[in-house]
Amino acid sequence: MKHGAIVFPALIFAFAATMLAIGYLYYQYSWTAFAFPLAAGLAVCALCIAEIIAMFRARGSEAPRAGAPPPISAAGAAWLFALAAFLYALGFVFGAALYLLVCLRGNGCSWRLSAGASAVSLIVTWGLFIKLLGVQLPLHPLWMG
Amino acid sequence: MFDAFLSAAGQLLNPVVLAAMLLGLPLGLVIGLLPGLSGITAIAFLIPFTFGMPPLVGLAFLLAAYAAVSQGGSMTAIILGIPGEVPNAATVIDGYPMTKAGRAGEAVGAALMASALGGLFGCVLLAILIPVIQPIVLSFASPENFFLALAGIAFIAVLSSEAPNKGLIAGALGIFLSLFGYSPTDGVPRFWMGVDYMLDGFRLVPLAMGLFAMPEILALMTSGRSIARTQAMAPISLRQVVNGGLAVFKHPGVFFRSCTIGSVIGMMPGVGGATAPFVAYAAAKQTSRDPESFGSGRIEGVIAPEASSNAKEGGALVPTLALGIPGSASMALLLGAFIVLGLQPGPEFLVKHLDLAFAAAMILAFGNLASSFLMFLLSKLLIHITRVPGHALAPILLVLVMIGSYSAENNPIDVLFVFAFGGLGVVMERFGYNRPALLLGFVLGETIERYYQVSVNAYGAMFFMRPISIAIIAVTLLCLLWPNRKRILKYWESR
Repeated sequence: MKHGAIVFPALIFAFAATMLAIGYLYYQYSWTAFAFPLAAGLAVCALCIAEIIAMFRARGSEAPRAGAPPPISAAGAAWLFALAAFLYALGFVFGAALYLLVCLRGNGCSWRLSAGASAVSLIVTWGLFIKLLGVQLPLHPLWMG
Repeated sequence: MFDAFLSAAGQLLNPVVLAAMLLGLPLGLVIGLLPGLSGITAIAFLIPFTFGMPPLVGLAFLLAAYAAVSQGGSMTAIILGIPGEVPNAATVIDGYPMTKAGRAGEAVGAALMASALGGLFGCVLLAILIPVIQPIVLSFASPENFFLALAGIAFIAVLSSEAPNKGLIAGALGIFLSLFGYSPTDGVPRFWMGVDYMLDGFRLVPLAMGLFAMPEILALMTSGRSIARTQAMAPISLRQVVNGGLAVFKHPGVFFRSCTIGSVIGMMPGVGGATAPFVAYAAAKQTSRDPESFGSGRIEGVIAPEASSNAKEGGALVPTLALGIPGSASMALLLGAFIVLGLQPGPEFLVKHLDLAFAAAMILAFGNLASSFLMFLLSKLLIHITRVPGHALAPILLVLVMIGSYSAENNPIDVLFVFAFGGLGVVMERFGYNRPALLLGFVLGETIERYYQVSVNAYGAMFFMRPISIAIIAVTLLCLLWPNRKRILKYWESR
């Protein structure tokens, strides 16, 4: 049995219990405001405890899950999070376009595809979202406020 | 009444009304194909364009676009594993495994046919029920709505194929997360931690995008492979799409049951249409001879949510038009659009504008059929996306997801929450927790709390003793216990 399989429900339990404790001790919510979250939170905690107990009891007896997802690569995750940095540094229109250019090239795609995707991104963000649909995507870098 | 029906049909043949529908359809399809932009967003975007339009023209424009949005959402759910909007999350469960197995064409065909016919079913039902629905809908008060919403959550355990307890944890966590921010009854901000963003609680779009889109994008980026594995790739042809469409006629029981579930849930004021596809999916699974195979690419798992999802739209129009009470969040916005167009839905609406009510049903029916046909034409092109290598597709999808998440509320913090919920989605996927269950719990959590408070205030602690409430509880228990009857009987005998 993987430790993570137990740690995850334990983390959910800790999250729900902490929120309930903060609500009761720090915010001191009225019964009307707190009753329903309390019921839901206690249900989460009880189910997590039941799951953890069941895992300990079934230790070593469970079969591996069919169709388990492939392992995560650090490089793949880093490419994902890099988009947040691009958007923060350059805004949604130019940040997204430059991210596509850099990420696609960095992953071995041709210049033609990378530049094309980048140009289409500019057309979609600027033309479709900002001009046609009227969505106020930030043109300026987010760090400029 | 027949005169009103004929008058509505005549008005729809007006070239301006037809042009408005034909304009709304492609706009709806485009919005539906963009992850994160839902039917609500579509109506919100398009309402400003209806200023100054005659009521019927404005209705034709909005309803045609609205009908088309869910078709786009189904496509992204099946082909990319990214639900266009919340109800499409139920389609992901079997639709995406079919794509991975090289059966995308079949799944798309089944979804389009089920959507089109389901939408038609809902609209015909709407047209039939409009004159007689008032006393039935009015008999459902807050206790009944509370139990209906709870029943939706209870089906989560059924949806969770391998571990019902994990499904329940996900559902309960979804409800708990939905209770952050202002309390619906007394306006107290709960668990907001001094962060202004949290005064309104967690948002639906970042949660949905994070839970469903991010794990798939990460998997594509990590593996670099296309969505459809090369070894499983069958030649994709229109024949495959047609075969998928014909599969709907091979499963008439699943189709009609799902349509009925969708229409009935859609009619319940305030319950919210998001429940319908999940309940229909659970019903299809329960009544199947091989329920264990659901989740691995069963075509009934695509037909059921798609048929119910579109059938519910006709049903949701019933309380919106007849009572002025929206049947779902999208219908709440549509109610606003009616008022913008100078119409006041409610009991008097049916007396004064019965022809418009029939016209709305016909527009929705036309929108469902026409958008399915348009998607059918586009499907072969869209399926090619599944052959694009993962490391090229993932960054493009990620950018679309981020823009879609941002544009829902124009808030950059939503983008951060997509990453946060993405982490949660990845962990849930790895440890076998039911992500649709969490999303459904989140969608229904606030509704359940509101109906509970109203029920207790209005009927006291014994609010569950109303006859219709007892019937709903009994049916829910029966549905949940029936598949496990052998296990329960065995346990009972061993004692």
